[in-house]
Amino acid sequence: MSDVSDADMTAEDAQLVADLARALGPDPLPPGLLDRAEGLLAWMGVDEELAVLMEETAVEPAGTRGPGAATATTYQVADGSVALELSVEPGLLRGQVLSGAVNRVVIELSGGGTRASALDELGQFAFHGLSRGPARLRLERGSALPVVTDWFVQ
Amino acid sequence: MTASGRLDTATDAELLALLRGPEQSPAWSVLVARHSPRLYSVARSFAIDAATAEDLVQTAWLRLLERADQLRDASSLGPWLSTIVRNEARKLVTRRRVVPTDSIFDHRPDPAEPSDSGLVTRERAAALRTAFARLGDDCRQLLRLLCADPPLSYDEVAAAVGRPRGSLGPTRRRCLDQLHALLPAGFS
Repeated sequence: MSDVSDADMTAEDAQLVADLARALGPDPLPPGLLDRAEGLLAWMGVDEELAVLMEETAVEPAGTRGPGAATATTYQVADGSVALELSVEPGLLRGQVLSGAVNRVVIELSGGGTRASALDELGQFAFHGLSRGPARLRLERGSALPVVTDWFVQ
Repeated sequence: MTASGRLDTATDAELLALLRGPEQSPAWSVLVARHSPRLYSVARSFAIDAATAEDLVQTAWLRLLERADQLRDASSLGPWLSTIVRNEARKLVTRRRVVPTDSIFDHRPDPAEPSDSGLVTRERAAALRTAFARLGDDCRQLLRLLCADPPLSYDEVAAAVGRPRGSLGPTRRRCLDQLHALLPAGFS
């Protein structure tokens, strides 16, 4: 068991934890997880020179818009030149570029594949029906270097 | 001996340093194999489904690739990765992306299997699962983490629950007392 259970845990408690572990049953790693994690190495060094949009606190606290509502997250680069608001719901990722001369948003999926979206006159964009898995956005700015978000879970 | 075989005994710091060189692939394989099972347990401790738990694990690895050079203390890689899983899991819960219901039937042992040397009879197992389901969220998470196989380190558990190491002992005491109180009389 965990080394949290060492030393100051009684034998009776240790037995209870062991019994509980057996009762809950094994929870094996999904097949192929290690292979897929190994494949992520391909992302090393990709776009690493780009500025990263850091996540700010959520725009609205959880619960104020009822269950199932999306929560928008704001991202900014350190110098504030590019800011993005992003809302992620199952099957739909919507965002709005708040500042910065962004002309295209590309979503990169960790399993491979990208999709691009232009922005409307308000800087809004959306991606529908994305396959699951970690993703990140790359905001392209013409001849200026793009900026990227951290990888996130959709 | 394969490159991976020799690297099995390398420290996390040594493996991270190798990511920039010609041995990056076997070094990455060792890192991934070494930490993924525990990270998966951390993700599942949030009562998250298997596929989403995997997404969280993969995201933690991707974050490491983004900033492997910036990791200040490679000896704390496990807790660092666990913190990422925790932060992202909590965001998913906030977004209502996952509803933290605790399905005790998620991985119920096969009833056709003989009981394990009589150590846990079917009745005892059922009583434990019923009592466990009645615990609060924080106790269920902590106990899941304590049950993780392979076991988590003290620091990884602390990172997973977002609490200081020193609070774990008293919390464990409280949760085990509550579990015990929920078990039927004469259980022990």
